[in-house]
Amino acid sequence: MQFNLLRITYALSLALALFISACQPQNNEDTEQHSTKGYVYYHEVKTTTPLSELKAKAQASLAKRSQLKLARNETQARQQYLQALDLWEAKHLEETEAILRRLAEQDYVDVQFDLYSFYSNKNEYKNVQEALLWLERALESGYPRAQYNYGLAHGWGISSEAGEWLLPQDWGKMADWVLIAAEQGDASAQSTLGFFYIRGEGLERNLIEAYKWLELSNERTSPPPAQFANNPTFRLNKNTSMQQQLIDKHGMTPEQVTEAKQLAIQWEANNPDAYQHENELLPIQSLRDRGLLK
Amino acid sequence: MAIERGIIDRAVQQEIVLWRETTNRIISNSKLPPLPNDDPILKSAIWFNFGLDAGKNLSLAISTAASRAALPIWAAFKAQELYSKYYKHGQDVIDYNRLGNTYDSFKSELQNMVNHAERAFFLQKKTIATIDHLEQLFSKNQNFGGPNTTNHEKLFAVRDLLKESGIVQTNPDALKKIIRGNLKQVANNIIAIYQGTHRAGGTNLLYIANDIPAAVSKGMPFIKTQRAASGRGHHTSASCSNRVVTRATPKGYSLLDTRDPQAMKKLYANAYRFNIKHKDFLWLEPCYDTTYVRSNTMGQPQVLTDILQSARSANAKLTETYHQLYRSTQATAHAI
Repeated sequence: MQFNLLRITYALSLALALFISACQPQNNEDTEQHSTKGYVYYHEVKTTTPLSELKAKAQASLAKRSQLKLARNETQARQQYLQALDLWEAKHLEETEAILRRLAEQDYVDVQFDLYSFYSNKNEYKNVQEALLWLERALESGYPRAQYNYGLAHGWGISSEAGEWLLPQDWGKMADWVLIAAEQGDASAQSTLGFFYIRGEGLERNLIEAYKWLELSNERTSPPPAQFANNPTFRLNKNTSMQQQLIDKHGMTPEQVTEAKQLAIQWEANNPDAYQHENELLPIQSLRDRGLLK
Repeated sequence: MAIERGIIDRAVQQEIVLWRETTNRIISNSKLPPLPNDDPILKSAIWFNFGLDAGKNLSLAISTAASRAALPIWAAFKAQELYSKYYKHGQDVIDYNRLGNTYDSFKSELQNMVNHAERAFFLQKKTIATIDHLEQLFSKNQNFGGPNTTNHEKLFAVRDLLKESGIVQTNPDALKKIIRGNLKQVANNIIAIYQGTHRAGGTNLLYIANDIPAAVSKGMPFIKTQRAASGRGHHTSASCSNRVVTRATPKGYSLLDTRDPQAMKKLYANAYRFNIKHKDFLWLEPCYDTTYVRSNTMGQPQVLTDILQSARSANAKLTETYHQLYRSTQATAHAI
């Protein structure tokens, strides 16, 4: 009798276990797939780096700030640089390439970055391998603008003419490099990071972090010229509009907004060496257009 | 310096590609809710109707400027073509016999429609107008000074704007909600039809409303039986009291034989037209003894003849009914 009771108990517990396992929600999550074009899906992340590691990389990069060689800060180099940009705009590409290469070889990181842009453009000088080479040199020197764009390039990847991946698409690395640049005070990177946090692109969705990064970006961004006061493409307008959407559309509470602003203040206190304004990282042509070139 | 037109084109294209990839992935991974039985006709009917329903939404999206459309408004052109192909006189175009085959074929047709929509979007006037507008917005924008602003920065700026505008929905959570919500609605319609036509103790001979959307909108039964005065009517049937009673076909209804697979397939194939809010909306009067009918056909050939005759005329009526349905709903679609 006792043995039968044991058998029944065992059978019942087995049945219960099977029942419970059958009731578990099926994993409906989308598996990683690649289309024939090689694009991964929206929220697929190949790599995830701990936040502490990314912050450490940002600090290490920021420590090189005083050693950064910028052509915009040296009179002679700046003149040649501006000359190259004028030639570029006038489509005298051979002379442009010569001047930019000469300056880039002298380790001017802003010129190295522009050389990346030069070789990326669709013209007879397009050379994707060369472009990537100069970008990597600039970012290794600790130039946040290069790091930010290196991150963006991971968004869709860079492939050669033959179709091989030179820089594979990786939304995780995209968010990593944008965060590294944002932690150094790059206003563009901070704004983009805010948008990543809202959409969950390459990292976990977090509205408070999003608001905080948009706030930090706003502090570093000049208002648009009067004639573009309502133009949504200007960063400040875009950021403030999105901050309002976070409240109206995404349901951020006033307490959450206060928390985000507190986090922004805390970040400023913890990062006194960060770039304080976009003018410190603007392209030289933008500085000239805004009359900020001395 | 303005952002080059090519960059803007590329940004729009990348967003559309993202929409296409995400939408098709969600469709692939979508599962049907629990069904009353494992009938492949039900499963294929759900995907078949979902595809037509999506096409209907696309064609609506052409005429409205709804920025919350799950599918790009300028991509609806090709989808409308496919939808029109199915929407015209269905008996010539829709192959009802396909219901019952593996439903994956309908899934892949739906994904094909999505691919067509992506390829067609650049042909739309609205697309060109949108890109023109974007180019204007970015012109002389000093945030992008000079030729040394990188293509990636420009690309991301344009894509940011597109995402925030909501014109192209690429957020997978939002897309999942829309697509799976619509799929669930279509599945509920199919299940409601199934349950309405297969009630326990119910009848295989039912009346179906001639103008189903109108019946639904007026709160009338979609499918019904009705006790009627004897002596009139279009068919003869047996009641559970063993008396042969002639029932009148209610006004506005036609006879449907649920044992006819072709008739049922046609019914299922049109489920997308109906907004059935409650499953209990389909009601049937109980007490229609089909067993009696079957067992009595041997001894009462007259009854069998009558039934067969009424079934034939019911089939003819059914054909006419569906043509009427198509014409009435087609008129509605054009009015939209």
